[in-house]
Amino acid sequence: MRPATQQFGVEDRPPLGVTVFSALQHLALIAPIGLVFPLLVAAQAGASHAAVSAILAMSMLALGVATLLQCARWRGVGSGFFAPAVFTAAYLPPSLAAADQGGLPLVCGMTMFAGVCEMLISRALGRLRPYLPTEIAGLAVTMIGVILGLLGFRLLFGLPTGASDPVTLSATPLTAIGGCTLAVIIGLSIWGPPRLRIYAVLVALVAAWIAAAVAGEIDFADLHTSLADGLVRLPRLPLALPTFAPGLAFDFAMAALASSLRAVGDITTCQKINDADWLRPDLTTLKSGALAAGLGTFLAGLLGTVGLNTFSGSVGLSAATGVMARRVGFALGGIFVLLSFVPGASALAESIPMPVTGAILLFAAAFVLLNGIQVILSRLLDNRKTLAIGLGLIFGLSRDMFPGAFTGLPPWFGAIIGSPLAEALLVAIVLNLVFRLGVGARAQLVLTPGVEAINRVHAFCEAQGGAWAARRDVMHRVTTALVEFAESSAEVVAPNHDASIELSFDEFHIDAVIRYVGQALELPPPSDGAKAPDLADTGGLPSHLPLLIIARMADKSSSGRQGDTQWLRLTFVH
Amino acid sequence: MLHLADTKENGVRVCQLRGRLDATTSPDAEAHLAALAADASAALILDLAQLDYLSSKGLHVLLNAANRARTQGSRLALSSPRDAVKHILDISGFSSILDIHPTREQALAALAS
Repeated sequence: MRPATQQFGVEDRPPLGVTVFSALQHLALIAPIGLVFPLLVAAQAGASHAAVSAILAMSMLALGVATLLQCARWRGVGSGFFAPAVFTAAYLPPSLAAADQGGLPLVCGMTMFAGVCEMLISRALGRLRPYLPTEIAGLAVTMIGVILGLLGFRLLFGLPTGASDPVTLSATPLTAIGGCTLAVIIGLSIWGPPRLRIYAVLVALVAAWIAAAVAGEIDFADLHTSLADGLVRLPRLPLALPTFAPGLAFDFAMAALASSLRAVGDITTCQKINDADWLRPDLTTLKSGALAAGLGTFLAGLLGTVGLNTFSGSVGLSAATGVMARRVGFALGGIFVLLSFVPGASALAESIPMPVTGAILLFAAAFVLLNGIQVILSRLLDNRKTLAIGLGLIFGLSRDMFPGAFTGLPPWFGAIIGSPLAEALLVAIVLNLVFRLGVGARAQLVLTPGVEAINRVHAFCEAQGGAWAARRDVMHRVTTALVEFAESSAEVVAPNHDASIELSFDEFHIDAVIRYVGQALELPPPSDGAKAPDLADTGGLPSHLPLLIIARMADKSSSGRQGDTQWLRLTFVH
Repeated sequence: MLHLADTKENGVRVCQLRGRLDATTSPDAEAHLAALAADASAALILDLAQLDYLSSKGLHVLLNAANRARTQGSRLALSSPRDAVKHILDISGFSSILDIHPTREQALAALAS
């Protein structure tokens, strides 16, 4: 079902103008942030001006190809969702180390290795599914929202990354422009004319760039130098052959794991924002999306740049504007490829002030964050699940709150929990594994007929729903059906006998089997509607109403008799 | 558990039901609504916004309240049921015989007209 806020769904074909301007909007968000990491790594490797220009052009090409791969759905590669690529901070520390040790050839070789790791991880996602339940996928999306929001906050106010000393917010002209950008985006997206809402970010961005230029905050000399290289030029491949260093393999493999988790989180968000009836992560698109992300990183290494991943900020921007069409992704990928032939393009992208980019990220992060919280709250969570999610979130946040506390960790441990997202998920996954001990997929309740039976059914369903992290709405239907039986039990169960209720759970079904000795319950056929009670008749309800409610709560029901025992089987699609 | 809270808005009595309306709570709810009906002068809104569960025994309580209102010539409306409760009202056929409104404000407006 189409979400109410969606203007163009993943399969839609927006008009050309909407497609191009939406793609430019995403381009403006991705390029300034995305190109920082290749520049940093190139600087660490001591690359010449010509080499830096070549790397930037290849980085544009890598972004374009990776975006096209992710948006496509071709032979098991690509999620088919509009989830553009960006160079990721997850690969920055190991890439800087590689640049230091072996220059750009080693960065390329290790990035290709990381891409292979991501592709292998994507193949194992099916086996990992029991350890990555829906609520942990929700935690991943929530953490991505938080990380994105904090990055936006840092960029907006010009705060240093990972600083352990207290920092204070300062008011600079660029911060003021960033603040105004955020206000304009919010204003346009909420109160603006409907046609303008989907371009809120682009309009605010152009206005902010002009304001920054008037304030003298744009380096036109740098732009002029870039254009001096010519308007169009074929991108050059790196001359050095990739090399490999076994000592860096673990760090890159862990960064690949963190990137894969990020891709899983982003594609989960894409699934949810494209389907109002979304129930759980769809493994097929998760696998194909994670594979495309890995292939993108491999190609980035081959082209001579650093590792990339899906961009949560763009996913959030899609949710905010309601433009989620795959075709916009194709347009964006195509524009990136074209821009790799334009030497001045990267300089123009870099000229966008970081506080303006921060404002856009803050705006997008709010939507990602809320989607994550909704995924978590769609499930019933008992104390175990609550602790796994809550502690995961707190430990994940602690990396940004107390960065100094992590500097003394052994290098191997630091590589495993190399990012707030990896740290949050590691804590949640380990706790979830520990807490799974002793939680069976089946549970039984012996029910003595009477009024107290109803309270026991409520308590039983609440406990099991929480232990299994079952969907709230489905568990509500299970409870309603079983309460109806409990209310009728005094009339149908033979005197001095108990009834038994057995519940079993897997991610796709909840089955309830009721057994008792006594009067048979004949469930009405599914098509039987209820006869409205006659208000003139003070008698009351139709006698078959409890059975009708039981049958209608379940997606499938059957009843029968085995010896003296009556049975009733109810299946609920989960 | 069921909590019942009464207020009066624009001359209309509003009874808010919070919790579960089933066999364990229906005797109390029945007695409470019968007492409210003793004041036959005002219309009554049953606000179901906080009602988590509604069973067939609970439906019986609603039916009795509707019958009392009809007998006394007063008006009864239900407001703001959650999706799950609305589903029960629909499949039981109650949606076609009771006056149900999405919000309390809409119920008040309907009774005022």
